[in-house]
Amino acid sequence: MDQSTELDQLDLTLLDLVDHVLNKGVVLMGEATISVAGIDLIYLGLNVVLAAVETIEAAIEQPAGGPERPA
Amino acid sequence: VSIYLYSLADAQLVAGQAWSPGIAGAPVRSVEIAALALIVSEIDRLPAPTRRVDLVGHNSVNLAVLETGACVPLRYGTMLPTLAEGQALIAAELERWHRALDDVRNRVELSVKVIVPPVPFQSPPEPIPNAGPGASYLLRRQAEEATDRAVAVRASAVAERVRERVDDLADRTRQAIHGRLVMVSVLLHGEVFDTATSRIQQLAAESEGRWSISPRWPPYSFVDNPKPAGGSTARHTSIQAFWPQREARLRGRGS
Repeated sequence: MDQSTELDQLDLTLLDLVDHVLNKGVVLMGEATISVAGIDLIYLGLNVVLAAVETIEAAIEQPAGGPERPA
Repeated sequence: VSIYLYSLADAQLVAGQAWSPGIAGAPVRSVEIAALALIVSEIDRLPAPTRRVDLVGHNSVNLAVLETGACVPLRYGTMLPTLAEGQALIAAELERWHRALDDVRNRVELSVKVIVPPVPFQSPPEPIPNAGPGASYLLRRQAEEATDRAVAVRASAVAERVRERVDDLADRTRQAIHGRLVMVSVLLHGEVFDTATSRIQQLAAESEGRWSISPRWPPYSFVDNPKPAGGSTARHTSIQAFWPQREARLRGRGS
């Protein structure tokens, strides 16, 4: 099997973390109250997701001995 | 300073709880609202970019809440400008939040992820004599779709076996399949978690593929989002959005 197509165990654990904490759980919804500095929570959430993807993808793609993965 | 929210809990159960530091190392405390407790920290802003330690920090607080007996976890990144706004949001629909808490009382989530083995690519039939490039393309597409269907059948069978194995222990199950990646979440009583885990481990030992069986999760997959009056439901971002490249690879067939 081509190893590049496979997720290793670390990936699966990280996927589980991302899947649960970022993709699930209650999202509090309100009218004008759900915002931080004027940014809607969903929009804020999207920014969080994008930042997470970049960080996680970059960490996974690092070769062995490269910069450390996220803690 | 803004308010970061982790979860809802039973105020009586978390009373006197000694909390470890939460996200960004901030102190954690509970705020009582009509027998419910909102678990919060005060932070200046959400750490950016998000790191694994931040997600772990959010979940660690919720795991501590889970140990008290009931946790309605909120999604990472839930922040409000003031505590009063959080209290108002909860107070506005107290009955429903109480129901949500009762629904997961003494319950935990078991997460099973499996990457099923690839299915050999089904070679397209010999090209039709004198046919143009379009015919060859369609035959190849037909073979690709046949392979995708075979992958889907294999993945569905694995998900079904997982569900069957813990059917008598589970309150509810949910599943998602993305190519060869199978994700099954099981909501069950905390007392039967170890039994369920043993059964899934046995199933994994009997089966092909790469298996990942989680420790206890707060019931993230089983807390439904509220439907605000006159508004739309909260959007769930598909896992493809997090992992586009991996998703594409997992759709790959065996060589």
